[in-house]
Amino acid sequence: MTELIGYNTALALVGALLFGFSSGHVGAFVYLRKASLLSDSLAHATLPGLIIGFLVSTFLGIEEKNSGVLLLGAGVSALFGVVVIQWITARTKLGFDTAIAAVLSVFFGFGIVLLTGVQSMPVGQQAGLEDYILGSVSGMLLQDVVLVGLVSIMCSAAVVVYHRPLTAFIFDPVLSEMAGYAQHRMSFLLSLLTLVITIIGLKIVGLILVVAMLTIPAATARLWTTGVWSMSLLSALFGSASAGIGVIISALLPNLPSGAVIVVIMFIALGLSIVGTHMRGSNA
Amino acid sequence: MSADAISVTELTVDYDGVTAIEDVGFTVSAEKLTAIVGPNGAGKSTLIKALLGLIPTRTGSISCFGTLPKQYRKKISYVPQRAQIDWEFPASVFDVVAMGLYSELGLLRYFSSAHKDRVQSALTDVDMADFAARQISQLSGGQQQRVFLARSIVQDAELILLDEPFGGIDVKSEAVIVDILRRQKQYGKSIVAVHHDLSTVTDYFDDVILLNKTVTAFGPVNNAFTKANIEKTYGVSNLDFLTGRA
Repeated sequence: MTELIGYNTALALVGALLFGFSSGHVGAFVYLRKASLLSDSLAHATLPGLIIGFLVSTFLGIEEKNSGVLLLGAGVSALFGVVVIQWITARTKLGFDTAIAAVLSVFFGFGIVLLTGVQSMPVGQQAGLEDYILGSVSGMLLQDVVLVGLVSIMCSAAVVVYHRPLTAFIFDPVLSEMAGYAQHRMSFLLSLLTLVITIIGLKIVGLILVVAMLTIPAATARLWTTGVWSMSLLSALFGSASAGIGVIISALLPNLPSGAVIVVIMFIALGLSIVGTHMRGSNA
Repeated sequence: MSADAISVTELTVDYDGVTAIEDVGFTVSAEKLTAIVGPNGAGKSTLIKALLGLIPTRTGSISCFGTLPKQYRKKISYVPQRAQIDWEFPASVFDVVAMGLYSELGLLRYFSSAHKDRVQSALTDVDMADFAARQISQLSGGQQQRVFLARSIVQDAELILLDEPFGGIDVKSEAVIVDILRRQKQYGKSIVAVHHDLSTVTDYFDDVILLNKTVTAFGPVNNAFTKANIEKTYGVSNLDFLTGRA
């Protein structure tokens, strides 16, 4: 395989397969909770923190290739976005959807302003920052893949362990509360998983399209399944397959951003599934 | 064991910054069917949430079989209003009833054939055994309510709280559900339901709690559900057309 697609692509492929699996796995619950828009807003809110993380690591003289500081900045920024959404919803007359739209656009706009400023600075390496917007696996290093892979496995493990309480929480929050799983804890767990998936997905699919990883495989799986367990598993497999195929195609055809290719592939799977389940339904 | 399933004294609860119920006191007898009746905005849902231990109380105390609701949680089961449930959720009838075993199963314990038998037997109790594999989106309102009753049965709860179990359900299904509730009472369960239809209170229930921010009367329907008490609760006179009583 490595002779066919090269060492770097093989590395990225491993990362994409694992990330695709766990994002589909977590995404099934985000979809059922109807929290897709919140996750999109969270993803866009990573941009200012990402750029600030880049500036901090540049001025501190940390090796630019180290993405840890950037991802940390992205996480803090996204968390701040969520806090702002919650504050607007709780303390003003504005609705949840308005809060989401406001945070998404304002944080992203502010991030673009920062990015434009950074690009005119006389420091190297800032070209790679755009990779986080649309996704690019070309520059992925072994350490990136190890990080993405391990965190993906942890997220999927959490979904397996908390499968019952998460299901109960989404379907009937009082039941989960009475069974000893407080609603605020389950809500926090799902938000945390969404945040972590978003952060580790920045490099592979980019912040604009990471919401698709959490939504489209889940929607596709929902068409074929009638239970939460089978739906989340199928969603994980769809996510993994799409991410894997997308990474290979974007490696073979240079200049194609991996995130965009992955989304196109997921959309094709969704389209075929809509047609397929519709035909199956009309036969029954 | 105390003869009272629930005992509430001087309970005041704020909800969304407003005093929803004030200085509420009543007892619910064990092994009875009790209705909570009152006008819209009387605080019925708030009272249920407080009984479940889901919201903080300002003053007063609640005890369930002589202990705090929070310590008694696993013996209380709650049947939500049908409108609060997303019936497009990917779950079969069996899946929903099995959720009643989640607190017992914990995170990872294996769902054994014994557990499966218990789910099937609860479905038989509500006459839904043939529907186990059916998606919940394909049920009638009455069937949906029976599935949730089966979930309460499988939970083996001693106290069942229901929020408007007959809302939007046809007369025939209503009779089926009343039968199920009466049978559960005979098995020793205590049942409390928020109820809207004043004309059926005396037929369906043993006891009643009349609530409008505070409790205007409670006790056996024959004593408490009088014309004077109902008028006091609803703040209007001439409710004869609703209750069918002279």
